[in-house]
Amino acid sequence: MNRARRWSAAAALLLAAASVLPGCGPRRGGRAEPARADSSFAAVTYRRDKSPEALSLARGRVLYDRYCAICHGEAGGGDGFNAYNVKAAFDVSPTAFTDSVTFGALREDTALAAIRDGGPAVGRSPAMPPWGHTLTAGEVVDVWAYIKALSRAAPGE
Amino acid sequence: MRGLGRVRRTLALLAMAVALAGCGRAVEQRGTDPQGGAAALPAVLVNDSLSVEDRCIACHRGVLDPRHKLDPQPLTTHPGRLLDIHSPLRFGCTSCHGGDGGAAGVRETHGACSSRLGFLVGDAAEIACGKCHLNEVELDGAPRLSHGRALLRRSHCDGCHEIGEAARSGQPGPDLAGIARRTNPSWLFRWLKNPRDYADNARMPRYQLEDRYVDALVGYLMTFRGEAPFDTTAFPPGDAERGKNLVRLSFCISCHAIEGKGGRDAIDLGRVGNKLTRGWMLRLLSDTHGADPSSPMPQYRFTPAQVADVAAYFREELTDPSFEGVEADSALDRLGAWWPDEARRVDVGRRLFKELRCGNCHAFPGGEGWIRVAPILSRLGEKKTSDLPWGTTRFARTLEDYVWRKVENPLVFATAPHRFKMPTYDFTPEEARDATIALLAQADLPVLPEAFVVRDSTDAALPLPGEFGRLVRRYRCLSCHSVNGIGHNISYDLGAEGSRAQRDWIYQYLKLPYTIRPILTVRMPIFNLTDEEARILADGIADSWRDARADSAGDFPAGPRELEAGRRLFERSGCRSCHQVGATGGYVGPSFTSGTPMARRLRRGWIVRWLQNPQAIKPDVLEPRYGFSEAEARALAAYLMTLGPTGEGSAR
Repeated sequence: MNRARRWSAAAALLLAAASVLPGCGPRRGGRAEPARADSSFAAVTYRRDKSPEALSLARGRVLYDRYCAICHGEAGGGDGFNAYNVKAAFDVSPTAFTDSVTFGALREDTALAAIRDGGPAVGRSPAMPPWGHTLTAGEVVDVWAYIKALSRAAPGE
Repeated sequence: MRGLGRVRRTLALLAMAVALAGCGRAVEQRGTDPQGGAAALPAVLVNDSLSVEDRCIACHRGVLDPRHKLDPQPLTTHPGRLLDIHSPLRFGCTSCHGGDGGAAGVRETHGACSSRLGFLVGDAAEIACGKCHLNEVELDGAPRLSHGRALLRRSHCDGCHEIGEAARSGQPGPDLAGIARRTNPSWLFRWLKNPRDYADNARMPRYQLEDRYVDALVGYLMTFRGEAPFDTTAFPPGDAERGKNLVRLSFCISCHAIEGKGGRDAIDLGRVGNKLTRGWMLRLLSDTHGADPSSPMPQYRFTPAQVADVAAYFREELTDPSFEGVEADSALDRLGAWWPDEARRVDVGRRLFKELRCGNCHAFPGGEGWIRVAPILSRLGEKKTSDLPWGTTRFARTLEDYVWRKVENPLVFATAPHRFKMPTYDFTPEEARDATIALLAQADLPVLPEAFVVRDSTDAALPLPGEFGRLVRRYRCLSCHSVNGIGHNISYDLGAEGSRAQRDWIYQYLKLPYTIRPILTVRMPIFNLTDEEARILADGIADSWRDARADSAGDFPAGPRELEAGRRLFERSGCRSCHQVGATGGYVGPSFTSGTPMARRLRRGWIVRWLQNPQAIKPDVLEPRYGFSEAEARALAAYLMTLGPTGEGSAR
């Protein structure tokens, strides 16, 4: 009984010390959150949970946002800030990947060819330029993976 | 006769063997990819000059083949496009990833390490880039390392540490002579306590000092009274509204942020009124380089009345009353009263100033030489983890972890307060990670053959003769632009500007800069150049900053047939998706016709080179590379040069 009380007192003391101690450190100005004690350099430089699919998607997203979103829109709705100008100049709107009818009619090899060789190569508008000399074959695959993800994420799908 | 033939054949074989050895030789050809193609690799990658003999591809079969992109490890394709320029056939795998390429099992290869840094994967692999790329700050494909190097450079770690091959680039902080006439004690107190309380992009680190020591430093610094105060009698009182307008027109925000908007390269001006005395504002704006010879800021051509207007704007609108006083910091209540008398305060301040080596970054009256007191970091990668002062911490005991923690919070390993003098830069864990990668990237510097080493030359001097050079320096063109890599990269490289743009247009643009690309936010300031100055600058740029290949590329005849071919290419390539022609077209690239039509802005040869490979000229440009042939690029360039202000081409 006595012993149990002494143990619980010790535990309470330890807990109190633990909650006070971090406050003892030097004052940190304007910091969001410091590195956690249980994290490590390996953990901040390498994420083991990243599968090849996730890596491809992440890379595709960067490329899509950089090269495609200007016309096709950030969410793939065919409504990028330049879409209006493309419509005015060519009388076609950038493909909306979120539109299930439009997207459903798009075959994978056609889409890849369009990204690589431009609209005219697949019988579509020249408003879509070819990216095959700018992006590598792998990057074209990445972009397409992200576009597929955008169409899946579209509301109503 | 037959003997001679054999000798010749042997010689040819020898020559082939030498050639192969030079670029990494493939010893065993068996076990190549059954599907063949570009991904065919030998089973062992060998390069004697790099001490590489790697069997990694025995398992990592798909590294070069994009078809394996979505396959799981170890079959998956190497991410990114680094292998395009660093073929494993030449560099092997362990040059960048460490580990033991000769071992057989997964644990032996990945776990055991031939170098002290061990097996590098993910972002940490960028540490290895530093083996060859000794000091380039912008390395395509190594964003973490580039960011880390920029952080190290910006933080001027080289003030106290010896780092890499980087030469020390002068004293980064301002000369402290006369600081008492430039600012006030309460601003100085708050600044010294935490520079980022004043401006979040302040470059000076935070010395984690107790208030009374900060106070002592303030006392010492306020003894630097300098020469006689700047004569302000020539300046009228000034009008804040006019000053605000002038600041807007001069595009000060291309470098300085004001109220959260603008560039981050120069200090935020949001509270400049709290910091500077009126006399110093007037001096800085009217004689920028006399007041601070090393300032990257251009000398504007303001009249005394305009200078007074800007100072009035700073004092009336860019002063934050909540920044000073006891409400902001209760310690300000005791400013100057921490010590028994002023002499003691100044004396403590002087000793502290010396101990913290403030003079390593600032010139000051009676300043002594520069002494690096901190550990040498040049070959950090060779440190043993057992030699590091871990204190009582229980973190993972690797060199990487030590450096990362230390950079993030310099006092983390301190066993007693003030045991370490290093100030904190208040890096986030991510910034600390990038700085750590950059610090460790200096490992093993001298052991690589010179053929693999790449050096950066941005700090090299550019020959700038005569009056042209004086104007380039006066307007600090190289604070934003570079010329063939020398200078800074806020705006684009001017190395070929004379071949890119037409002389008359350069003159007009210097007189009145405007935004060429609709989506660009940073703009060139308006310097109010005189006609004479603009002419000298335009001539200097057009004559000396040229690219011979672009010049010769424009040397071709273009008849109606070429123009017609160019017009068809223009229609087929969808140029108008991004560029305006007449009334229609996109807003991504510059308009071809409005403002100054491209035909009166650019030179034909440069357009030919640009069309063939825009990324070769401007790596981050959005324009796709079309893969035009020389003839196609010529036809298209010739056609584009005929586009008039309304978009009509002469070939129509």
